[in-house]
Amino acid sequence: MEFDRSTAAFQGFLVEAKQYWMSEIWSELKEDYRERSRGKAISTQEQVASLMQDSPSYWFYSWLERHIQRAKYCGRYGLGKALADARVRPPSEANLKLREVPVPDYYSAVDTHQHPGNLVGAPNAGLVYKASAQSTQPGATNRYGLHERFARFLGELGEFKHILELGCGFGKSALPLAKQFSGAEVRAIDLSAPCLELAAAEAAEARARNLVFEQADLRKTGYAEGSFDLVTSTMLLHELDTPALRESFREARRVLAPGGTLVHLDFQVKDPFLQFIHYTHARRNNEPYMEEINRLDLEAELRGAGFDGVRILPFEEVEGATSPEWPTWRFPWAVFVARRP
Amino acid sequence: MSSAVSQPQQREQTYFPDPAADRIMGVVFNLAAEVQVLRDRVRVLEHLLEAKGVLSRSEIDAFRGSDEQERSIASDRRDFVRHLLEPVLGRAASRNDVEAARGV
Repeated sequence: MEFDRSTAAFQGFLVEAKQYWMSEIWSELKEDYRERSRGKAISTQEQVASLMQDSPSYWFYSWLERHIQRAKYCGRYGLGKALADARVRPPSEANLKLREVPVPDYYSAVDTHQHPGNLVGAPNAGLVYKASAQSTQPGATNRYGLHERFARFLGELGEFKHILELGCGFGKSALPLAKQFSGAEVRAIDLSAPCLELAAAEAAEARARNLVFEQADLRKTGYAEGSFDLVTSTMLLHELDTPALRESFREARRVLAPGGTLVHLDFQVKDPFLQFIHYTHARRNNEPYMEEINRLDLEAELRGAGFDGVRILPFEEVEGATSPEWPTWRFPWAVFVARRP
Repeated sequence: MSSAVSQPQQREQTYFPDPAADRIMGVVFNLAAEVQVLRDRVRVLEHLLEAKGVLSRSEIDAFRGSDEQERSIASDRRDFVRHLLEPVLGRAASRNDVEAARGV
């Protein structure tokens, strides 16, 4: 996407600001927390919250996290204006199936990621989302790197032939998935038609012929029982409220064949300081369910939905990122693997 | 299906003990971004003008525009000020009532 020079300079300023926030301001915040917590027994995120509430480092950290994201979308150099008339060119291939799917209340209640109008609103919502995602975690999410690593992780679990991706967005993980499993048929579903249109156009451009995008609700996909040997998602679980999460697990079990595998890439955080950061990030970034999903016992939830062999593993979006000495802010990525008996 | 772009009436989140500081931060941040946009543009202009041998720096200082040129400069100044001071309004740009959404 080509922006005019001023918009590109403004958005570039935001990426630089986010990188500074991720490194310098994050380091300062951690140092401040170390000093405030020295000699204290901290075991809950609530204790961290009370230590940090009068920390100027935390005030600025919070403000910048909120407003760098907000600024991406708004104002005279924002994506909303820059992409107001942008439309996806329809793909030449029949790799897109749109149908009217009611938007669930849990999904439409908030402008997730501070994206005005959310992802199901304007026809340019997919393009705006894609442009915004460039600077969510510069270094990890601005390229396909994280998604290619995840696709390779899935490749190590087995040679899957029938794959369903849930909540595929604008197709950032579906394409690496289709490349990793080039002999498989990949179906990718989402609620957002503008995102699916963009995903399908990019897949057609990349000549990913084993990939079809469909508009569907992950709680009731419409696929026949036992249709898939892998059901997967990235960055989806925290966008669901608890009832939707439970329904999605049950639906995944239904559409998986016996012996099939479920793998979600999302977040899990237990350290009190990082939990505090995660929960407050959720508020700042308009993520209403991030905290409640992290509080759930997902292993028990998966067992309750009829899965076994549940494993929850930290995931490195870049080499070395799970090291305690990792210098920059990151999401607490984790993979959730389960088997349908 | 929700409308194309929501018109939130909610208040923006605040992080400083004095919420006025949140708004001032907004002004400072927008100002900094605008300065960077300008710096970028001036750099581009300098490179182009120098490369083409078009004019020197003293000619810029001596510039007096036509009425239309001055109107265009004034219009840009008005846009700049609106952008600069918008955070003082303290309005949310996205629907962000996370607590209410949990109760849906």
